[in-house]
Amino acid sequence: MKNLFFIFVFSFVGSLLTHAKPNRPDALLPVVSDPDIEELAREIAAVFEQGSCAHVIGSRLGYPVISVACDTAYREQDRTAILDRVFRRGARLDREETSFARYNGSYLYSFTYRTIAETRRLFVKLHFRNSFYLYKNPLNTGRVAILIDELDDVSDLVRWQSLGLKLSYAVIPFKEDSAELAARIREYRQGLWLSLSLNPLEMSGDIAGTLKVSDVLEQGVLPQYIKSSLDALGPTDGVSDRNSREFFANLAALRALFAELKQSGIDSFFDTARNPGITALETARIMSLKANRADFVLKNCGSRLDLAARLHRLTKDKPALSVLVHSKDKACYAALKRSKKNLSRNNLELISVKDLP
Amino acid sequence: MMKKAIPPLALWLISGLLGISAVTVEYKPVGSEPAFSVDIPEGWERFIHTEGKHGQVLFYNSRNDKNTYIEIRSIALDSETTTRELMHQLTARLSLRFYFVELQKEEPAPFRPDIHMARWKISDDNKTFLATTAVTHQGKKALMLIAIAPMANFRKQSIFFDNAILSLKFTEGKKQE
Repeated sequence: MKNLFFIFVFSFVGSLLTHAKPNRPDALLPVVSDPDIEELAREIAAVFEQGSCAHVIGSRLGYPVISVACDTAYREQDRTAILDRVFRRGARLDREETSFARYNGSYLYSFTYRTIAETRRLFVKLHFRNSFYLYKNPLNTGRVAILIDELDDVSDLVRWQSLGLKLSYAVIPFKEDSAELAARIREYRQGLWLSLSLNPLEMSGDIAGTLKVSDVLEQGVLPQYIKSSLDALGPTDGVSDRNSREFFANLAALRALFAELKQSGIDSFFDTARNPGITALETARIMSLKANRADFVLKNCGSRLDLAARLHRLTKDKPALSVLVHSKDKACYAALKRSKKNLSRNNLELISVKDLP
Repeated sequence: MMKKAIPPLALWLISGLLGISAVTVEYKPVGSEPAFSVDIPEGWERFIHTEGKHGQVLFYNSRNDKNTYIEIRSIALDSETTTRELMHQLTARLSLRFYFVELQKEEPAPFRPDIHMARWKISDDNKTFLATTAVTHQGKKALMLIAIAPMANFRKQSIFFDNAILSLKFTEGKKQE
């Protein structure tokens, strides 16, 4: 009985002591200060657009961890660029771990490298939030970006807006409604693109003339034409092409166009032409423009078309699908209206064209 | 105007009904980091750590789960910053500390447009946590708050967390001697 009493007293006092023991969270992380690691962290963050990332350096298992957080997409080319930065320092990639949610993803890379004295480890952890595209994210499917092409009339804009969907509009400049259309699209917080005609005759304003693409380049018409087209609409998400078959067949003309767009601060191009054998998209990408092509042109919409089911099939295994539809196409407007409810049932999410990966 | 008064009033009423009381903590800088004040539940302990231009204060209740705490970082910046940049910094820290963090929503704090709040779902060590964070900046100074609790316990703690966020502000406190 006496023993039991002592056991009770000891265990009671013991439990009190355990409880009184400081139970401080280990939230305060050690910060590593190493100029080489700091420089590498800066280089990794610089792979992405300025202002879209920040880094913190900490430690794990006694080894440095570079934690980079961004609110941008993470593409295969970004991954290649980051690995290249680390490989240049003689490190070897041991492991890549990933975790995903629909708009968030994290990538943990474990590297080893040798110093004169020992083999050391380095961890690089990348976190992305609010991202429409993340490399190897299996949840990156079912997104559709619809571009309403060649818009030149306010009544057409109002009709498409009445769908209540996330849309992007390519507006034709120099028309009566152009400036108002641009202003309204901005107010509606939809995507605004410049629908740029690449017909040499339109560029010179000499519709009755016989100007060719080569003449446009020789006469230096392009810079002024692009400037005035951009000025007609104000700030846009990017530029899409119109009447471009002849222009796009000329690689020198393409390069001159993209150089001029970059010079004017435009960094996104949408290829609506889909002309076989023409490499506008590839050339734009080579010249460091963010470029996309219409994956699917919506036309000849019949009354029985189940658009949601069709888009669902097309987006399977694809991070995003870009769809082009002409602003005057009332049959396709009606098909989209009919399918509106089924978009969410088919797990389809409409995004802006500028958010395409 | 009336509408604006409801949430603080509601918080105050709920606090009163639940018998929750808070104390205003005034943080005085050790280095060049900014001073601030915040309302923290009575009886919570604090741990202060400073490093150069950063001051960190950890508020916790040792009777609570180890993973329930409010961490505030007070930062002196080299140049003016943006909310977006501070969100990157905060995310990088969360990502460093936890295995996976998922941003669920972000918005300005109700009636405190100077504070940007975010809600996170966090997975670490087979456990799930919820966190509310807040960032605010003024010229070359910034404050970052992380309030975290296990998922099952978060609802109970959220009154403390919301009070802390809505009370967080820069002060003119003088440097500690």
